[in-house]
Amino acid sequence: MAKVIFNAVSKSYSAYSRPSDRLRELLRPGRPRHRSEFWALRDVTFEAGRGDVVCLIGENGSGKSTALQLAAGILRPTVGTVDVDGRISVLLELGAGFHPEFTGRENARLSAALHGLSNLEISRRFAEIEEFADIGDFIDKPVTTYSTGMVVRLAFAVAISVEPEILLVDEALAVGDFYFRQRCMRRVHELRRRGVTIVFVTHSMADVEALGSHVVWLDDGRVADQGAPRDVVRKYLATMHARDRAVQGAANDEAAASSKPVPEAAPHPEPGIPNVEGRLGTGRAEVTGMAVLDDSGRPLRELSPNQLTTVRIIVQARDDIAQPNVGFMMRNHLGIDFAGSNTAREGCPMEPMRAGERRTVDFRIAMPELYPGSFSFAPAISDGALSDYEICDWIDNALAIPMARSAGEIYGYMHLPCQVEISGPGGLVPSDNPDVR
Amino acid sequence: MALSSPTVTLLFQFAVRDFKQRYVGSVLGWVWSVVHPLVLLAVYTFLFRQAFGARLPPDEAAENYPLFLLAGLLPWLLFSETLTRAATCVTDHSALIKASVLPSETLPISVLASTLFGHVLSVVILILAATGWGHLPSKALALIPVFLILLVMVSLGVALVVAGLQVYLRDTVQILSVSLTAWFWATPIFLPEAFYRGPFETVLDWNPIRYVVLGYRAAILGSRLPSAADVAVLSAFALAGLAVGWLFFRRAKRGFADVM
Repeated sequence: MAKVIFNAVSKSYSAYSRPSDRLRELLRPGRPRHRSEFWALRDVTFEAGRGDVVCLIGENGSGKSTALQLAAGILRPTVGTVDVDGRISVLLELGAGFHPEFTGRENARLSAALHGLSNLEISRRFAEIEEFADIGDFIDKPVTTYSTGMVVRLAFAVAISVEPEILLVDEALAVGDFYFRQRCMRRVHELRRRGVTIVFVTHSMADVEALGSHVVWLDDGRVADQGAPRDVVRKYLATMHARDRAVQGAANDEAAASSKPVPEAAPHPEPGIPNVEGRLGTGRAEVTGMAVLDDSGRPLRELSPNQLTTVRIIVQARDDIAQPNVGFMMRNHLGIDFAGSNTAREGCPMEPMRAGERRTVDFRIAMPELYPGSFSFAPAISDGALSDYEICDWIDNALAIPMARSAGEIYGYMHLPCQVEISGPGGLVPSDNPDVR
Repeated sequence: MALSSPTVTLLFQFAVRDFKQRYVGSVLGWVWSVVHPLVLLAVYTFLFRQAFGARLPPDEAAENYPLFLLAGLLPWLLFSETLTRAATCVTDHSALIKASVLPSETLPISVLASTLFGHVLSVVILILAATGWGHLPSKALALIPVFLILLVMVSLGVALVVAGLQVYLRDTVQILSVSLTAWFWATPIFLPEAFYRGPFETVLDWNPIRYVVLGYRAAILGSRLPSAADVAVLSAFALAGLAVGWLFFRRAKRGFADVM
C-alpha cells in the first residue's frame, strides 16, 4: 500500500575541511574525519498513508524541502529510517533538467522517462500530456522560446501523467497563472480521491486548509506541531504574527530611541502598492496606494466573515480630472471577477480634482462569508460617468489576501445571509443563525 | 539497477540527448562524428608518412598506413572520448540529481552509448575502406564484436570511477586529461609495437587498450591475431575494471545530492 513513513529521521550536512575527506569517509565509514555538522532535520516522525494529503509548512530554511528529498530517496537520512512504499512521482523543481535547446516534446519525453515511464507508455500518454499542458504549437519549439508559465505547464503535465501512487510536490503549485493552478488543484483532488498519497510543501494556508488531511509544521528542522490542518495552521499563523510583531517592535523601538520626535507621527504609514502585475490607463491620474484595513485602521492579514473591513485606495491626479470615479475589483483564486464597486456606484460622486491633488477613498464593507481562498484587489481611477468614462489607472492584483475559514460549510463561493423558516405539521422553527439576527 | 523497461528508456533518452546535444544547432549534425576521425586520420597520415618519413617494418601494415592508423585510432577514440565526457556527466546534471529520482548510473552509461554509436559507424566505414584496398573481410572479422565488448567494459569501468570521483574532487578532469595524453603514447597507435623498447614493453603488457588495438588490426587488416593469453589478460582487465567501477560508483552516489 502506498505510504511514506518518517521514523525519528535526522539529517545532517557535514562541512569538511577538504572535499576529498568526504570521499574518504564515504569509502571507509566508521572513521570520521575532521568536520563540522549542520542538522537540517532533527528527529522528525510522521506518517502519510494511502489517500492522505500531508502538508509540510514552516518558514524558509526550516527543512521542508530536505524532508521531501528524503522521502524521494534523493537524500539518505543520517539517523532514523524513511519507509516508502509505492510508485513515486516527484515535483521538486519544475522543469529541472529541461534543456533549452531541445523542443518541448523532446524535453517532456525525457522528463517522463525520469518519472519512470517506458517509451511505450510515454507515446501512449503523450496526447494527454499535450492536452493538459495546453501550449499549442509551442510543444515542437525549443524551450528557450517558452515563458516561465509554459515551462511550468509542461512540467506539471508530465508529472501528473505518471499516475503515481505517491506524489511529492515542493511549492510547485504556487506558480503558474490562476487558471492553470485551478486545473492543477482539481487534478490533485482527483488523485486524492483515487487514493494517491500526497506530501507537499506550501506557504499557502488556503491550500493547506483546502487540501490537507494532516499538517506537519517544521521549525528549525524539528516538528513544532502536527495534526489536523485547522489547529496547526492557527497555531502556526499565531506564532508567525508574534515573530513579525517582535521584529517590527524591535525596529520601531530602535527608530524611536535614535530619532528625534517626528512631527505628527502617523500611527500607520501611508500604504503603497504591494504588487503591480499589469497596469493600464491614460495616466492622467494614478493609484498611489492600496490597503485592506480592519475597523481600527490596522492592515489585515486575512479577511474574516462579518468583520467590518475597509478597502482604502489613495489616488493622485496628474491632470485636472472633471469627474473622478475611484473603485476596485476583487478577484477570487480562479482569477474570476468576484465583486467590485466604485464611488459612483455607491452614490458618492467625487468633486473634480486639480492636477497634483491627492485623495484617499475608504470603502467600508461588512464582509460576507466567502470561500476560504485567496482574493486579489485591482484598484482603479477613471474620469467620466459610469456610462461613458476613460480609465486613468488600473492596477491588476495590487494586493492579495486570504479569506479565513468560517464556522459553517460554504457551498459554492459565498454564503448568502439567510433566515430559514420551516412550516408544516411540526410548526414553525425559528432560524438559529446568529449572522442574521 | 534492474534492466526494467523504464530504466532502458531513460538510458536511451539520455544517450540520444547526449548525442544530439553535441551537435545541436550545427548544420552537419552527427556527420561530424565521422568527419572528426577522418580528419585526424588525414593529418596524422600526412605527418608521419610525408613529414617525418616514418618507416614501418614490412610485415606490419606498411602497405597501407592510413588503415593501420585508423584501426588503432578508433578504439582509442571511443575510450578517451567516453572518459572525457563521462567525467563531467554527473556534475553537469546536478539539478536533476537534486530534484528527481534519477538512477545516476544511467548518465555515464548513456555517454558511452552515444559515443558507441559514432564508433560503430566509423568502424563500418573502416571495414568498407579496407575491403576497397583489398583486405577482403575474413572470418577474423567476427572477432570485432568480442574486442568491442571488452573495450566497452574497460571504458565503462573507468568512466564510472571518473564520473563519481569528479563530484568530490574537481581536479579529476585535469588529472584525466593529462593521464589520457600519456596513455595515448603508451598505446601502439601510430607505431607498431616493434618500436617500443626496454621498459616500454612492460608498459604495453599492462595496457588493456593495446590488446583491443591489436585485435582490431587483426580482424580488419588481417595482421597476426593476439594470443589467447593476451585475450585472457584483456578479459581480466575488463571484468575487474567494470567491477571496481560499479562498486565505487554505487558507494559514491550515496553522497551525490549532499555534495552538489
